[in-house]
Amino acid sequence: MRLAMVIDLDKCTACQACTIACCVENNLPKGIERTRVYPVGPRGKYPNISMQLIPIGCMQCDNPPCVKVCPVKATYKREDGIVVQDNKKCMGCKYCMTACPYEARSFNKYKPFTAEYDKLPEFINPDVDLRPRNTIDKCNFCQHRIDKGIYEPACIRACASNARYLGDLNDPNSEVNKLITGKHARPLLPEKNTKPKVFYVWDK
Amino acid sequence: MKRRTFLKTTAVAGAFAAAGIGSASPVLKNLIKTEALAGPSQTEEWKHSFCTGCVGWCPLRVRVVNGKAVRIEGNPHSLVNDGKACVRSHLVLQQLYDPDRIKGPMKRTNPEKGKGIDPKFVPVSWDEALDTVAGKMKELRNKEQAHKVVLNRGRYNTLDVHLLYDKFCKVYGTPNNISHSAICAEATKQGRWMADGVFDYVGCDYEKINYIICFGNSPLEAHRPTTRLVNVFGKIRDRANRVKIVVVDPRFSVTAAKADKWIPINPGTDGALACAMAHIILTEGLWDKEFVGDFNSTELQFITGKTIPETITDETGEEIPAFTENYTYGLLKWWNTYLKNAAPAWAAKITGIPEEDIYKLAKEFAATRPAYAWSGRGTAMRPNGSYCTNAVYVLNGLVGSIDTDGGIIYPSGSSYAPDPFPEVMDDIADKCRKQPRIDYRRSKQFPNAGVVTGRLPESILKEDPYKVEMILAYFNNFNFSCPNTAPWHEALKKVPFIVHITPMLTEFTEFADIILPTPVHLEKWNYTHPVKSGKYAETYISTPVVERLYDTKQTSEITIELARRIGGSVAESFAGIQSLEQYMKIRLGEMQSWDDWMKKGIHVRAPYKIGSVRAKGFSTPTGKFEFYSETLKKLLSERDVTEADLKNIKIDATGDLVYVPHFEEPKYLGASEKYPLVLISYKAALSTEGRSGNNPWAQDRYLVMYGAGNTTFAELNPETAAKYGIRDGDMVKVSSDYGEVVCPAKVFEGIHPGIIAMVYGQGHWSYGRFARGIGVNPNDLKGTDYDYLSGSTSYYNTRVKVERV
Repeated sequence: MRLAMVIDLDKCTACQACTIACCVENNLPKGIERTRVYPVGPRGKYPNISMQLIPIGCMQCDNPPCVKVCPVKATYKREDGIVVQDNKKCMGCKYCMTACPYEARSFNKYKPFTAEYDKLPEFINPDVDLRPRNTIDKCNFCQHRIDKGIYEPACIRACASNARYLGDLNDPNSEVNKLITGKHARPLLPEKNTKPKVFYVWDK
Repeated sequence: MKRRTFLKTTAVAGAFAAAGIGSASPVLKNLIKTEALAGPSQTEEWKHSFCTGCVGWCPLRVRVVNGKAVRIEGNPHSLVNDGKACVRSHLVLQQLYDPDRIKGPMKRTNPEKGKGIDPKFVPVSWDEALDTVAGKMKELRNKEQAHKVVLNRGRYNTLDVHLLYDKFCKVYGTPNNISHSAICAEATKQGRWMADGVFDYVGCDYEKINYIICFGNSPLEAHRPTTRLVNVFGKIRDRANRVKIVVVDPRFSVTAAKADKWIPINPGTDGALACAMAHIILTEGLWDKEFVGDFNSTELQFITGKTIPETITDETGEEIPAFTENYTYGLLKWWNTYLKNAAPAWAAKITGIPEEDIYKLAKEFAATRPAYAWSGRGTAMRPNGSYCTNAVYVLNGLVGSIDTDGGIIYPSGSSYAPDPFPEVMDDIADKCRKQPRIDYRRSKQFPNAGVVTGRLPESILKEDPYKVEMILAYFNNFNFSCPNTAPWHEALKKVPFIVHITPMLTEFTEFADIILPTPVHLEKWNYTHPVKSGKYAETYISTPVVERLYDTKQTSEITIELARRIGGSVAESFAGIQSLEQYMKIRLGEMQSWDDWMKKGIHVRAPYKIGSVRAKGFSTPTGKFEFYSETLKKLLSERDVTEADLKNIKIDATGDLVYVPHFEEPKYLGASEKYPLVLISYKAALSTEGRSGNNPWAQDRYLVMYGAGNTTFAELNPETAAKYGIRDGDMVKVSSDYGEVVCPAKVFEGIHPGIIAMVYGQGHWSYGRFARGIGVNPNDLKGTDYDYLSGSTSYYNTRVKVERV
C-alpha cells in the first residue's frame, strides 16, 4: 500500500477547517500547523487579478530527503508510505527542515498550549501524545487513526466541501488514482524528484 | 507567511508535471466512519449538540472521552449539511474550555459606568443575583412600568425564544423585546418580500444551479448557513457541468478568489447593475417565457427608451393586453416606469463596470440556467438596501429561477407542539404591552421593520418615547457589534439597571449591574432549527455533552427562576415547567419519539415539493411574483406613508417608481471632500459572528487572504495607498465624523480604489485574554443610519479618510 492524498483546489473553500481540525486532533502547540492554507498571489493588477489559496503540509514523499539527512533515524517511511516522525528519538537538529523542499516541517518551541494557557486545557485528545518541545513536527496522515483502521485523517473528516481524498496509489481503482487521471491531479515541485504523494487538482 | 517562499515562484505558474502512478494492490478500505479509538482505561461517548456559530445551528456530534469534549463532527443524519460541520464548529471546544469564561454570578460595585471604567464586579450567590433582578422587575411592574424594561437578545436558539423572548416578555408586560435581527440582514428579507411576499431567508436548490452571481456577499466566508454553503460549493464544482460563479463586490473576497470572475463595483450601486442586466435580458428577449409570459404580438419587443402600450388591438379589433404574464405581475409597468431607460451605458457610469462587461454578464446569466442572482449584506445593509436587494432578486424572476429546480424555493420551517402552559395576562401586562415600542418598528420611519436594533441609543438618550429603566440582555454585544459604538456606550451608561446573561465578559457586560453567567452550548439542554436554505427542514437538539464547568444557569432556567421570583401571573405562566428536559419533550414530542431524539439528535422533515408555490400562488396581494410591488404599496398605505414621509427616510423615488425595482443614489455619512473613501467592513469565516475573539485557533489565522492573524488591517488599493503616501505595513489612522482607529495598512490589488476594507471582529477593549487589545473595531468609525423600510442598520455608508501616522 502507498497512501496518497489528493486536494481538489477547485472544491476547496480555504475555510481552514483542515488546519484547525488537525490542531485539535494532534494537540498541536501554538504556532505549529501541519497543514496550512497559503495565499499565493495576487497575480495581475486591479481589477484583473487572481489568487490561489493552497493547503500545504507534508507531501509524504516516496523519496523523502528528510529521511536521508536525519542523523538519528527519527524520521522514516512506513510500509504504507507515510513518512512519520518519532519524537522520542528526535534531537531537534533541524537538518530535516532544511532538506525538505516543501518546508513542511516545523520546530516546536513550546510545550503544547503552555504558550497561551495557564494550564493544559481540557480538550486534549487522549489518543495523541503531547508533542515534546524542541523537536520537529509534521503531518503523518493521522497515523494513530490509520493504525486503528480509520483511513480518514482529521483534515478529511473536517473538510466540509469534501475537497480532500486519501487512498492507495497502488490500487488503480482508488479515488486518488481516479482523480490523478480524471482531474489531472499533480504534485507540487515534481522536478525535485522527491516523488511526493500529495496531489493537487488545480482550480479552473 | 515567512516560509514556503517556493510557492511564490512555482505554484502560481501552475508548475505541475506528470507524476508516476504505482501498480495495482488490494483495494483500500477508505473512509471508515465509525471510530473506536479510546483505550480500555477510557470511557468514550458521542453526544449531540449544535453549533451557535451562525443561524445554521449545525447539528454536531461531540466525542467525549473521560467526561471531556475532545472533538467535534457534523451529525451524519443531517441532509442540510450532508453530515458535515464547518470550520467554526471546531472552535466550540475553545469556547467551552475558555479560561476566561465567567464562573459565577456577579454584581457591580462601582456605580460609575463608562468605557474603560472598572465595574469592580464581585461574586454573589445565584439567590442574591436573581432576587436583585426579580426585585427590580417586580418593583417596576408594580409601578406599571413593565414596558420600561427592554429585553435584548443576540445569537439565540428556539428554546430561549419560546420561553424568554416571546412568553416571558408577554406575560411580564414589555413590548420592548428588541433582538439583533436588524443588524443581521433584514433588508435582504425586505428586498425579496417586495417581490414574493416572503419576509424570511429563502431556500435555494443550490445543487442544480449552473450559474451564480454573488452581489455583495461572500458565501464561503460569511453567509448562512455556512456548512451547507461550503458543502454545496464542493458538490457543484465537482459536477460534470461545473457551476460558474461570478462575484460582484468592491472587495476581492475569498469567494472572489474561488470564483470564475471578480467584478469590482462602486459601493452601493448594485441596484444600477441589476437594473441594466434586467434591461438587457428584456431587450435581448432572454427572459423566461414560461415564468414571466410573453407578448401577444410578434411585432412587439423591448427597445431601449421606448414605452410599450399596456394594451393592443388584435385582428378582430378587440383590445387585449400587450403582454400576458404567467406567474408574474407588473413587467410592463416596470419597463415603462423605469427600466426602458436603464441601459448599460447609464449603469456603466454609475457602477464603474464597463458597458461590455455588463452585457456579457447579463447574457451569460440569462443563458446559463438555472441561474441565481444572490445578494447579501453588502447590497442590503445600507440606506435603500431593500431596493438594491429587490433589483437583484427580481433578476431571478426574469430568468425563471423561482420555485423551480435550481432556483429559489420555499421550504417549510419546523413545527413545534404548542406550549401547554397558558400565558396568564394580568391588567398590568395588558396595559404595559400597549405602550409604544421604543424602537419605532412599523412606524412611518421604519414601515416594515420587525425590530430596529440601531434605534436604541437614540431612544435611550432622548428618553423617546419614555425613559428606559432597565435592560435585560442575553448573548449580545451591541456596543461592539453595531455601528457607531460611542453613542451606544453613552446610552448604556444612562440606563439605571442592566442585567447581562452571558458566558463571557464583553463590552456590553462592562455596563452591567448584574452578570448572570450561562453555560456554553455543549453544556445545555436546547432545541432549535436552522434558517431556510434548501429543501429540507430540520430541527436539532442539544443535550448536556459535558457536565457544567462553572456555576452557571441556562438563559431559559434564568427565565423560569425570574418568573417564579416575580410571582403572580408571571409565575403562574411558568408554573407547569418542572425542568427544561420535560419542556423540551413536550414541544418536540410530536415530531418523533424521545428515544429517536436521543439517538439521532435531529429530526428531518419531508423535503419541500418544488413548484408548490407556483401552483398555489405567491403570498402577495396579486398572488404573483411582483415586478410592481403591490405588496409594498399595500404596506405603505396601511402605514399612511406619504411621499413627504418617503423623503424623510432617504427614498428619492416618487410615484410608481416607489413600487418598482430601481436604483437609488447611495446616501453617505460624511462629506466626500473631507472623507474621500468609503469604509467597507467584512466578516472573515473565522469571525463566527464576532464570537471567536478569544479562540486562539481562530485568532492565529483570522485573515486567510493575507496569511495573518491577531490583527486588523486598513486594506487599500495600491493606487489609493500611493496617493496618500502609504506603504504596506505602515501604521495609519483611519478617521470619520464618528471616531478614529490606528492600525497597519495592507496594500492589496483586490480592493476597489474608492474604499478602505476592514475585517470585523477585533478591537475588543473587554473580553478575554486573546481578544483584548488586538486589532481595531471598524464599527467605531461608522455612523448610525438605516435601510429605513426594514429598520436594518447600515454598515457600509460611512465615509472615512486615511493618513500615515
